[in-house]
Amino acid sequence: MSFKKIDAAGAAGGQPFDAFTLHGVLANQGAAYEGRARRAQVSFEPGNEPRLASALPLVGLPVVWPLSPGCEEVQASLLVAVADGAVRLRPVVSQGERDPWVGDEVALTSSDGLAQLTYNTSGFSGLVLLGVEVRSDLDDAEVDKFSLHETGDHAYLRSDTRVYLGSSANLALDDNTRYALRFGPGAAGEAHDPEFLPPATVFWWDRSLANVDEVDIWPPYSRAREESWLGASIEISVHKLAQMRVYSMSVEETAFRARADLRDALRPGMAPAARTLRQLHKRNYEQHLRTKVHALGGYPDASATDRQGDKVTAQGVAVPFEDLFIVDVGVFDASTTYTVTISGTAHSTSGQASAAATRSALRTAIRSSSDNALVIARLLGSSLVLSYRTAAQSPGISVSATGGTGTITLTSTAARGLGAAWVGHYSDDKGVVDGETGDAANRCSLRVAALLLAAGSPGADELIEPTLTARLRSFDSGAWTGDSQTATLGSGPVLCLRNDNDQARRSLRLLRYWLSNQYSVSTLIPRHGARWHTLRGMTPRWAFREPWVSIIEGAVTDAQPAETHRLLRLLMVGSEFNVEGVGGIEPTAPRLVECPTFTVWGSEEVRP
Amino acid sequence: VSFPSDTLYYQHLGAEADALASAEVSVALTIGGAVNEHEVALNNAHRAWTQGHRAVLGTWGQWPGLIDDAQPVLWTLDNTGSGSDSAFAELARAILPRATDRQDFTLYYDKEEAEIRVTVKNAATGATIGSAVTTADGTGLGRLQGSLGVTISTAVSTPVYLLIEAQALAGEVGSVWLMRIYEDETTT
Repeated sequence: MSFKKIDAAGAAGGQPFDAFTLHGVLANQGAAYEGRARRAQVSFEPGNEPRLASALPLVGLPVVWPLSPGCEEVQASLLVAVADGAVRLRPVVSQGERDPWVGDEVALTSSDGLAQLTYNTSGFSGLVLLGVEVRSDLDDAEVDKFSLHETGDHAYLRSDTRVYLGSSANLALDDNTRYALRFGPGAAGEAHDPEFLPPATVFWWDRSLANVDEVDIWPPYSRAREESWLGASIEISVHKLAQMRVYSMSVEETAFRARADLRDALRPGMAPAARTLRQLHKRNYEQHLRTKVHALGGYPDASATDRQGDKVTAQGVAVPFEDLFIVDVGVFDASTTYTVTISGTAHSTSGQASAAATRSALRTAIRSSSDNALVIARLLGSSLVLSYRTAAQSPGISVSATGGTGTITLTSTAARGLGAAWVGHYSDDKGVVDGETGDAANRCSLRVAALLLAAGSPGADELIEPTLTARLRSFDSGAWTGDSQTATLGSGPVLCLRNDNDQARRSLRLLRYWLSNQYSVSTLIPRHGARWHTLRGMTPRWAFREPWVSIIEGAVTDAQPAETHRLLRLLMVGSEFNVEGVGGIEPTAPRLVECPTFTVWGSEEVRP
Repeated sequence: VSFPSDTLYYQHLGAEADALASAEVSVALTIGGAVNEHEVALNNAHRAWTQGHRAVLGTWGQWPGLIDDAQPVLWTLDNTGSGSDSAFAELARAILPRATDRQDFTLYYDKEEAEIRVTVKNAATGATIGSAVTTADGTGLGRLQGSLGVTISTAVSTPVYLLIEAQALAGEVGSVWLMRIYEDETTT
């Protein structure tokens, strides 16, 4: 079916005008309905492509997708390179708190450069979350093999996720390869516990070591199990894990709800009923709602590095939440007077013997005059870091330290970039239902939806509530001009999980905890740790929905649609910090808000 | 074209017209004018067809951590030496499910002392379907913003991808700041 002009050339001789016209409108509308579907692509920079591999199924490559009215099927095409075995993919659709829909498995091998996944969206409408669940085959050939024992120079379980392989392990791991551990009976042939772990993905190791002697695995291990392994003969083998690099991903709506044939109701020579024309109008309006998707996000942050200084190839951007509120006041000195000024009122302390005492004194002083404000003092290395949390977004806070460390002023309105995308060229999104030139449109509304997840290690479940803003900038003759438009998109709670006895929650928390632990709190603070995370941004299927992830959506209006090139910048600013329960106040690791993906599309807008 | 029922048509719809408030209905109510007028007024579906949802095949230059006005170079290409630096290097690959009806693409760029090449390839076989390269602008011109059109001579119903490569001009260090590539409008 294709579009046809409704002119004299297309008319059959003697055809009544009304039937000719309305049938033409109907056919063209139907052609656009089927043939001009919403679609968009995202491509990744070579060297920064997502590299997906997991021994147990995990969902990655998330996309926030605005379903067109009537869309019943979405197809994703992935340009990939597969190595070290077969990778098995399943399409996953989720919305709100409902259980995700999961499609049929697609298996890829090294000979496959293209993967096509079909998402059934017939039970969904509005914003949905699309993902790719990945499960990798293990190469049966062992890279290395170790015996597990509780003591001595043997492998043993050091923590929930960490497996020590022995001081003479000399395990050489390649950055570009992915690995898994397999647990089985040892040479003695007898295992006291027959319930061995399933294969576990090696997701963290020290890249600075040529000979690795310990690795972290996911899913996590229960150390209680180790007790039952005392004296057992257990062997741990290291295997290559099949992996898939993704160069590019395309998302396209491919099937739509069948609609009644109106041709009989618009038959020649008969007066068309108003309800029939209303139906035709409704269809045209639905077409109008199917605006263009301007950008799919999830771009790797080319500037991001892990604590070791190595380039991070995560999909999306992670921002330490405390970075929005943090200031390094230098080496802690008990003789220093630390002053926090909030909205012009100074709160000082001096002569405190420790950072904790400094914090306590400041909190006491601040709380006496200002509710909902909290100052946290931490020692990171020898450096004292003060951060604040408050219900107000811009309370006007400055922090100073006297006694030789100088004064540092905190910018309380600090915003951190989550991403940016080129937009523009929205001639078909000018918000006109009628009119052939779009001349009535003098603006373009854009909708933005960002997927967020939080990581950290709070003492209790926390709901972090960041606010997202969007800024539009023009590009003209090689120079960017100032932000012409800034809009608050909205705020939303992002769940930061505490440690939990529940195995599933615990495993999710650990997956995200390591994510946060990898980033330094601030560039001001010396790096420590040197570990590398290979499952960044991925999540179990059951957690690929609210409240484990959050979507924040809002709109920004471009008042200068004539601009060809526009840059939309997505930023996060601090907002109310809501803590559930007691004991979650003091962070032991930074809370990290990650934005794995965001989508920008045209907003439906009826001409005033 | 004949107009046997226009009077009946108009009378029947008159009472409903306000409630409908649709461009298409207004077309029906202006019966009596020339067909060409209706043709113009019916452009909603036409615009959806010709312009609708030109897919963005890829955008590069989105600095996720950008806070200030700094605009880092996306790619630096060194062609001052010899060997691999003197060849086109891959910048990106963009998948496209099919090129039916959408045979043309436009690459927008911001570059200096560099050339960008776009090659359309069959995603399944790797065979080249079409290719275009930016004009050799010469050295000493500073940053250049422009666009490059890419045309496929035949519609392709199987997935294709666009291989985007760049190299610095001979003896130069080239830079690419921004890139984005779009499907073009159709001319139906």
